[in-house]
Amino acid sequence: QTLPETSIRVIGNFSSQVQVQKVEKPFWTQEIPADSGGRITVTYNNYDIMGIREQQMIRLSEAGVADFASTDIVKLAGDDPVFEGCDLIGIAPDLPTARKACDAWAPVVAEAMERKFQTKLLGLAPNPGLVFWCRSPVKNLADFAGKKVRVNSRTMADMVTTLGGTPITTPFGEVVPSLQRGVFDCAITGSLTGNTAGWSEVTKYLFPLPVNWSIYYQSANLNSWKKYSPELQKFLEAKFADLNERLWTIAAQAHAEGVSCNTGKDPCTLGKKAGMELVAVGDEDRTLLRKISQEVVLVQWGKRCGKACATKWNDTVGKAVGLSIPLDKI
Amino acid sequence: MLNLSVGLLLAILALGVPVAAGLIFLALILSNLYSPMPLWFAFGELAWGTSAEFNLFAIPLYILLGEILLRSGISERMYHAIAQWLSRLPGGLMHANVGFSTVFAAMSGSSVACAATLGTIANPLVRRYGYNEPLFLGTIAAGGALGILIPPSIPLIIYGVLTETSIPQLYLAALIPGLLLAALFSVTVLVATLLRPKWGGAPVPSSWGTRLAVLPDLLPPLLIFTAVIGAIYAGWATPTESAALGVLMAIVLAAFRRRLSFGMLLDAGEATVGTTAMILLIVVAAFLLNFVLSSIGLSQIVTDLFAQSGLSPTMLIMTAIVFFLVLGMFMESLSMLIATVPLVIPAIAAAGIDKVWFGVLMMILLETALLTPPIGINLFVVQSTRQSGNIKDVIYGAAPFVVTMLLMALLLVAFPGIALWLPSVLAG
Amino acid sequence: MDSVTQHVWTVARFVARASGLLVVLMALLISADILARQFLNATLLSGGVGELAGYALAAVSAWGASLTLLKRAHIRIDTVQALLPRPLSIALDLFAMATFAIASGVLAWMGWGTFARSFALDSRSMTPLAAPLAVPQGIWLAGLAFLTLTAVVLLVQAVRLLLRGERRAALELVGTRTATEDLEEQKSVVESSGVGGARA
Ligand code: NA
Ligand code: NA
Repeated sequence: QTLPETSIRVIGNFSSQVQVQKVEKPFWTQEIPADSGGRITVTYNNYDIMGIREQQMIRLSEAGVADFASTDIVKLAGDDPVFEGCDLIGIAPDLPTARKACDAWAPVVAEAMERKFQTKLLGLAPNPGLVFWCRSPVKNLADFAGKKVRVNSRTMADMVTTLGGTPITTPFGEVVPSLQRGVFDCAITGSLTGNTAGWSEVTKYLFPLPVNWSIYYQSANLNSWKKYSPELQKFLEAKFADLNERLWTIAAQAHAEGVSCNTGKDPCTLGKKAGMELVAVGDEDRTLLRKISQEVVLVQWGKRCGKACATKWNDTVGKAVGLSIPLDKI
Repeated sequence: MLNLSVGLLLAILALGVPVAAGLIFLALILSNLYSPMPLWFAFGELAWGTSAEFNLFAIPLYILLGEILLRSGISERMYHAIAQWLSRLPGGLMHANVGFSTVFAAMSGSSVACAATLGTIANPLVRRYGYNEPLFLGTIAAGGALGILIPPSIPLIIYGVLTETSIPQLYLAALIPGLLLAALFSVTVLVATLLRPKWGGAPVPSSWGTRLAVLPDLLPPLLIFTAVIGAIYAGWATPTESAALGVLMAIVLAAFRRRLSFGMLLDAGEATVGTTAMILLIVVAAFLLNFVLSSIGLSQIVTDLFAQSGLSPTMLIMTAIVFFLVLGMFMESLSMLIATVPLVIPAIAAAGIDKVWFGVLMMILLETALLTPPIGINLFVVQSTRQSGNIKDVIYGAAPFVVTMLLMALLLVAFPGIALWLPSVLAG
Repeated sequence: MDSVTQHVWTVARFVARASGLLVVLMALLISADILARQFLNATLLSGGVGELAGYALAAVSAWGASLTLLKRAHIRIDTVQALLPRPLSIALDLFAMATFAIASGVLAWMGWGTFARSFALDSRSMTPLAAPLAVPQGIWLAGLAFLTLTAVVLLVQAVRLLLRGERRAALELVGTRTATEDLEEQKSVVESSGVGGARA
């Protein structure tokens, strides 16, 4: 069938991420125009290049500044705690679990986006797992007591404080020089994200316990979406289903390669090899992280999100990951 | 689209519309002309995000630092101490002007603060010692410009934020070019006064006794520089935070000199707020314009123009130098930085040119913009500190130093190591 | 000066002084945070000092812009204007103030949207501070509204003065700042610093 001629505007995710370079950007700038037989023309820009802050993206999408948008979902949690639901610290030790959690939570996110922000959810996908990068030796998770750790979210700060460390918030661009000068001992970011940003050149020890996955969303402005013809909606929905599969696949590859690249091993096609020392993650570390998640992170998030929200979480994500928010404590 | 945008910008500014309002209007006009989406819906969010950006808090901090030093008399004593040491060179106090600027620049991140302080202190002396007035004024205007090249520097912080380049790396890279440029300014004065001995003025009385006696007056800048820069490299603070340590140190020094009072802080604070508001409004407006320019694809057009021109990296840099030199005649330096970096940096990065190195080059070109008519902020500032006389004196006097700055820019292109050597040595 | 403009001046100066003290206070707070981090291994406000300084910057710059406007210190490029005959030059002064009023009005209107959304959603910053965003955004927005009011008052008063033939008084409200005025200010600063170029 031929699609109606349509011109769409996209604000893409952070420009230097590997999934943006390899999947998202080609998806918008090449595939969509080609597969629509040239009927769809796309203007594509990344939010960081446009000088937009992540936490503002949902409001810009709501205002109709772009037809389609993508960014980290946790950054929207200031406007509504619901958005953090499948990316809470410590609930998903591996990608299959993260996927189960997000599949279970997606309808809740979609409902909130539609009701509050005039935005349609078109998919959730992960970054490489967020792991620890340290200048000084660490043996296990308990070793972070007394250490200064750079974090990028409030729940991550809760975790570091519980471990007995001092959380520090520093802009991403300042992390490398700050690590170099020893402003903090450790920092947390994606296993491959840090590699391409040069963190592996200024830290020595990689502790590859993923604390969360920086889940990001794909979305459409609801008014724009409603104006599209049914064929166009169907075409785009099919494209997005395919896009999301590929985003989960490249995340798995990027996470694994992140660890191998940083420690100078193969395969390493997406990053650059570095000479970091791999610190083995033990079962007691996973147990401790899960305990912090259960006792601190979930309780505090439950308080922010409210009882109804927590109940819903227990019935969906909670079942998928085998955790539950103690409703009497919130 | 490109011609219309640049033409509109020049037309709006030539009408005498305040720069900040002009940029906002241009953003509104361009988004209405070229964007299918209501881009201005985003202005509230973007304006808030920029207004509350912590890194920009360095602006009020450095202005406050300069105000406290001026109002406590510390700057004035510093100047006379430097004069004791440098005024024996042919050109006398003009070397003291360059020396003071270098020292002041090492404490403050602002060129306007530097030129205003120096002009206020040094201008009364020009006739007393019979200097060639234009050249003397030129050393003040040019010396003041050093404030943004020698670290700390507000434009370097903004450049670092805009391009996601490490600010400490930029500071390291700018240090040697900054000192070298200061030395070249002194050489310019030497050459001029050797060619025309009459320009050099009467010698300032000095002796080894007074030279030693005034040494303590040089302690304040040393302490402030150590606090501001030391805190960054010791890993105590980020470049923005460390400006606060500079203010703290200035307050302590003012108290030590028994010049600290609530009234003085009140006045210094009021002056700081006035200047900060003026600068920040321009910064916010430039961010809005930048958002519109990238949304309507103008940034991409400029990047493509550079990319398809087939220029070699060196030719690309030479083109950029000419571009900034011409633009710098008409634009205020901070707005020029904010308005052009998003257009030029993608092309520069695509050509494989080092962003840290280019940041340093950019600072030198911003400095020329401060000195070139019709719109040269340092020219205005220096003129405003004079008792009488025409602004032409300042313009003519600054001209030789603009040539010196261009020479410095070419040196930097020929020998990139001037900027990149220090960061490479200290990074390892 | 008429009483409306006088009231605006009074408010603008009072707020600018309060803002100045806020900057001094933030400088001390940031310094304290650095020292506490270094020597006590602790952070103030759970690492939220920088965030607070950001909010202070927004408040200070929005509220301070009024005094800057009253002092006619917002940068304008008057090179072309200086060449024009007097009536045309005054027309450009009025035009400049009108565009300023509209531009700050646009900012205030857009800022209202941001504030209203944060208020309705009870938005929090995603940091350990978890600040309720409507508070700093409200202060910022009020500053922008006052800036717009200042511009409108100046414009209306200048037009009224011109209609009464008081050109010089009108220029004192909307004209470009002259070098002499800048000089007066600089001189008073140096004189009050008490050293005054006595030693050379
Ligand atoms: Na400086
Ligand atoms: Na200029």
